[in-house]
Parts: sequence; structure tokens; C-alpha cells
Amino acid sequence: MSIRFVLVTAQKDLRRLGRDLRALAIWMGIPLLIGTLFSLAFGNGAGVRPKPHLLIVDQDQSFVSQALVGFLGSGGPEGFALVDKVSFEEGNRRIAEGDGSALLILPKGLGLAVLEGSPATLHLTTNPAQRILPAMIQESLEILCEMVFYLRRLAGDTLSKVAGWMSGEGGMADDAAVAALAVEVKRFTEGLKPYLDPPMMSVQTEVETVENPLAKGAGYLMAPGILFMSLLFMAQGLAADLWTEREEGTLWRFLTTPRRVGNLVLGKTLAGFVLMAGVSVVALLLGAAAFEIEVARLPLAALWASFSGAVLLLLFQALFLFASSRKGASLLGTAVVFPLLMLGGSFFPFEAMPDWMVAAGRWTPNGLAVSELKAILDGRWEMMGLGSSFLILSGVATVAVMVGSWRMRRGFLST
Amino acid sequence: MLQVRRLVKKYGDLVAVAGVSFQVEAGRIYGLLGPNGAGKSTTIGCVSGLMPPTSGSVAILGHDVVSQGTSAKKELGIVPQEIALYEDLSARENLGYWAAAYGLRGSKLRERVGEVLGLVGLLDRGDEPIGRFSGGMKRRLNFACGIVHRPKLLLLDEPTVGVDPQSRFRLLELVQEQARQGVGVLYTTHYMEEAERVCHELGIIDRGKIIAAGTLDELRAMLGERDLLRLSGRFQAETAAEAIRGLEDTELVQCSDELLTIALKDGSQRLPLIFASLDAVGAKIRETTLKRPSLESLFIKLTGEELRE
Repeated sequence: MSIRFVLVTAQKDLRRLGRDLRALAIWMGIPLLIGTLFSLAFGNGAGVRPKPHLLIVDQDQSFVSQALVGFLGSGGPEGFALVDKVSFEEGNRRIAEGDGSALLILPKGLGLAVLEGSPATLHLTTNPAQRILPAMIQESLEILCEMVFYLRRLAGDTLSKVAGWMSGEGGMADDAAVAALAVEVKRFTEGLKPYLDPPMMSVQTEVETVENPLAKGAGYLMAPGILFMSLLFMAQGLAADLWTEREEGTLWRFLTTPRRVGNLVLGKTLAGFVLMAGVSVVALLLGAAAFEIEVARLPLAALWASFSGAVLLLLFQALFLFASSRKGASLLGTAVVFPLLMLGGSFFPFEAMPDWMVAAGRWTPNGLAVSELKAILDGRWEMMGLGSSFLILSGVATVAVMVGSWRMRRGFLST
Repeated sequence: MLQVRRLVKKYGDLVAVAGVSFQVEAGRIYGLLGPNGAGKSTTIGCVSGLMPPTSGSVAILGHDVVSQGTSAKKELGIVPQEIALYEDLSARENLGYWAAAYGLRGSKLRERVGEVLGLVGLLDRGDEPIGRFSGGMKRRLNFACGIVHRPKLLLLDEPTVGVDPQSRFRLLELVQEQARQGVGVLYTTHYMEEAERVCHELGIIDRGKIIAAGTLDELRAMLGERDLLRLSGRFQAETAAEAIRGLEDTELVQCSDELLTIALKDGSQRLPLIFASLDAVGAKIRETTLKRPSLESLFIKLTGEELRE
């Protein structure tokens, strides 16, 4: 194998490709076009995180119900949910129109029931058009009910006394009774203090440096797959050049030179690698701008994408050598490309695919490459994982070079 | 320089080359003459190392093409039948690439590329993409790619097919120039006049076998300076054959109910006698062709058939 001649071959092919401006424009344009379409369809993904929109009808108007409304809506725009207090009619109308994640009705007598410890029912109507946001509200209400239960276990007598005053059954509270209640509450809170301040259970918080890719939205999840869609199309197009060389007679002439056929295969692959690196760098820079990806991650990402693209090119070259005609090679390529795109996370991100499909897709060459590219961009790649994937793809590439070289020497010219 | 011994190439049951042997010496042009499908290109394929022979051997400067392919191919230049060039590269870039394939580099490569461009008359067009070239210019560049690395043995597989007369003349001159420089040339063609003009030695190949070989003079001697007379019409094959065999210095090459081929001395002088003899046995002659001694008439004499395209 002559490295010099591999470079000469790559240079020759880059010259030829450089003069085919239409193909270059198509290859550069595919990721940009598809990326733009997805951005328009799903947004750029770095937008505001969705929040539950809760409509509340407060029929009780007690301090308990008002405290509940305040708790659910606490935190302003950054809080857990957006809360709208509405009338019963407006609430029912808006939830029927799909305006809101859920409608919560706080019934009359709720406050008294909480203080007395008697049963009370909260009515929650959820929006069937949404799945996650209403479930978040339901979970939160269940936690709130648990909190009320434990509060009653700890301070049930005090709450019952307050309830008696409110209902009038316990008579009017005089100053002494109120003062006694204040002392009782103080003792209760001081009794809880050893448990709450400092808390008995210490929680150690570890802030993960890894970003949550889901938080960046659908566009971010799609982007690596879109880049590989482009690389797959490039690999398919570049591999067809072997048929061009056969038709132009240059492959025949090459095989009569003293050079090993592997020189030609690797030279073509190197030219493809350079071209794919160009496309990857442009696509990744645009992706970094759109999704706030750390620029420091881009060199490794571009290198990985170009390497994986070159492996795909070798696979297509080997595959095309077994076709009986250029048209047959084109059909064969199309028959392979679309299942690979589907399984390998280019049409749909792995995060949106069924488990069985993800399991299969991650073992396709492009699927493996997309997974590692995502890990690199998310900053959660590991040397072991990336190294293993590199070795697997290198193995695939070696087999493809051997099969392709054998086929070129035996039978391809006389097909 | 090139030794081909008992070369056999089979494709399944089809025998494309059936025991061909010949040799090419330095500075000599050996012509392999035969119709399309005779086995010329298969022989070239085996000599160039593209096709492994079924049996027999091919050696270039003592290097076996199969077991010492790399060494053998270093000495070999090939001008294929079809134009084999990168259409989107310039003539200079094409030559540069093929020169590099044989190990030339740097200033030596550039000098040699310029030299060869001048040799084939393309120096002023060297930097143009060859997509703009005429067929004849491409043929000349195709030839240049075969000699850019100064091979010791040059294989030319029907290099003038589809070439205009002017380019053909120039190409044949270039081939002869290579031989004068000491290059051994194996030249395949089905054009008799080309073979007669450039080849020092010839092998006539048909159906995978060399049916006659030697210098041009030796081959002419095989024909015995006799003309070849072809008569088409309606004959009783047996009676017509009898009538011809009865004539002196006449050899019946082929005889059927529609065609008679006869080798004879002084054909034009003896036409009346031939016609009278055939008329006497009731033959009806529609067309008469008389050919002077040539490779073509030798081919017809040897195979009983015209050289088919």
C-alpha cells in the first residue's frame, strides 16, 4: 500500500468532484434544507419548557382553598404551573375548548373538611388532547392530599378547635382562647423544628454536568440523524463513482497498473472523507448556533461524523460492486438507504422510536454513529463507548475494503 | 520481452483462447490479427494480468504475470480499445495521474507529462478538460497515457477503431516510433492494411487459436503469391468442385451450392477458363471477386471465411 498514491488518488477524485458543482450543492444543501424544514415544523428546540395550565374554580373561598390556589400557582412565571382562577361556567367552557391542561374545582366546605378531618372531594377534569401536563397536575394534587393527611395526624386537635370556631359549634373564640391557640401552634412548630431545621434527612444534591438533551427539543434530537441522512446520501452518490470509472474505462486501466486495488478504494474513501468533513463542519456549526452546543465539542463531532460517513461510503462501494449494472446499483442503494435512515434515527430520533426499533437501529452502522454523535454533542461520551464504536466501524470498514478489492479483481469488470 | 506459452482461457465451457503461444522482442511490433471474437482481447487481458489464464503462462521480461504481477506490470503500458480517460480532468491531469500510478513524481513527472503531450500534439490543449476534445484527440491522449511511464512493453488493443484517417496515420507513426526506441509492441487489430503497414511479425488468430504466424514475407509465401477468386451464384457443389480440381495450379479453398473460393496463379488471365469450366457443368455465376495476395486472402485461405468485423 502506498500512502503517497492513496493521496494522489484522493486528490484526483477531489478535483473531479470539485468540478461537479451540482452534486456538491445538493450534498451541502440536503442537511440545510431538511434542518430548516424540521426547525419550521418543531421550532429550534431551545424554547420555553412547557408548563401545565391549570384552571381553578374556587367555590369554597376559604383561607384553606386560597392557600391551595396560592401553593399551586406559586413561583410566578418560573413556578410549577400557570394558574387561572375562573368561574365554574368559564372553566367548563375553556376546558371543553381545549384551553388549559386541567380544570380543578375546589368544592364549598373544603376548608372546613380539611380542618375537621372529614372527607372532601376535589374534582379534576383533564384535557384529553394533552397527556403529560395533566398527569403532572394530578400527581401534584395527590402529593398535596398526602401532606394534608400528615398535617392532620400531627396537629388534628388544634385544627379541629379552629374548625369549631369557624363553624360556630365550638362557640366564639375569646382572646384567651386565641392566645392559647397561638401558644399551641408555637409549641407545635417548635416540636417539629428538630426534624425540619436542620432536616433529619439530609439531601445531597449533585448537579450533573450533562445536559438533558430532551430539554433542547425535537430539533436538537433530530439534528444528528439529519446530518447522517446527508452523509448516507453522499456515501451512496460517491460510491456510484466506481461505476463511472468502470464505464469510462479508467478502472480497467487502473487494474493493469502495478498498484494494488486497495490504493484506489482508500483514495476514493479519503476523498469522500474530506468532502464529508466539509459538510459535517458546516452542518455542525449551524447546529451549534441553533442549539447552543459548546463549540469545543465540534471538532470531535466533525471527526466522528466524517469517519462514520467514510465507513458508510466503503459499505456502499462494496455493495455496488455486486450489482449487475449502474441502474441495479442505484436500486440496490435506494433499497438499503431508506431502511437504514428509518432504523438509524434519521427519519425519527431514537427518543421517539419504539424500544425494539431502537435496539435494532443502534446496531446499524449509521445508528451506531448517530448514537455516538449525540453523546459527543451532549457531552456524555465516554472513551470506552466511543472506542468500542470506533473499533466496530473500523472492522466493518476493513471487511468492506477486502470484499470490494476482491470483487474488483474478480468479476466486476466482466459483469 | 514477452513470452506467451500455450495460453488457454476458458469461461465455463467456452474456450476463448485455446493454446496460444508467441513472443514479442524488444523494438519489434508483433501483430495479432483476427476478426472480432477471435480471442485477441482475451489474450491482451491475460497478458495485462486482468484475467488469470486457465492454463499456460505469460512472462514479461521474465516476470510471470500471475505470480509476479507487480514486477511484470511495472514494465507494461496499455492502450485499451475503448478510451479510458477521466472526462472531467484535463489532459495534463490525466497523464499526471497515470504517471503517478507507475511511480513517477515531482519534476520528473511534470517533465515527462509535457514531453508526452508534445509527442501526441496536445501540448497547447493540455490544460483543457478533455470533455471538449474530439474523438481523435482523445485517442491520441489515450495512447499517451499508455506510454507516459516509458514502458518496455506496449500492448495496443485495436487502438485505431473509430479513428479518423488523419489521427490513425499519426497513431501508427507513434507506434512505430515506440518500436524504434526499443519498446516491444503487441498490436491487435482486425484491419489488414494496418497490420501489413506496422507489424514486423504477425500471428493470425481465429476462434482462439493462432492459425498462422511469421513475418509478412513468410505469410505471403504461405499463400504462394496466388490470387483469391470468389464466385457467388448457383452451383452443384460436387460437380463444380470436380471441374475446378481438374484445372492446373488451382486450389479449391471453399465450395458450397452458393459460393466457390479458389486460390490460383494469374487469376485475371485465367478467368475465361474458369468460367468455361463451370459453365460446362451448369453453374450460374452472379458475382465475381478477384483479390491480389494479401493478409486478407491468406486469412480467407486459412479459414475459408472473410475477416468478419
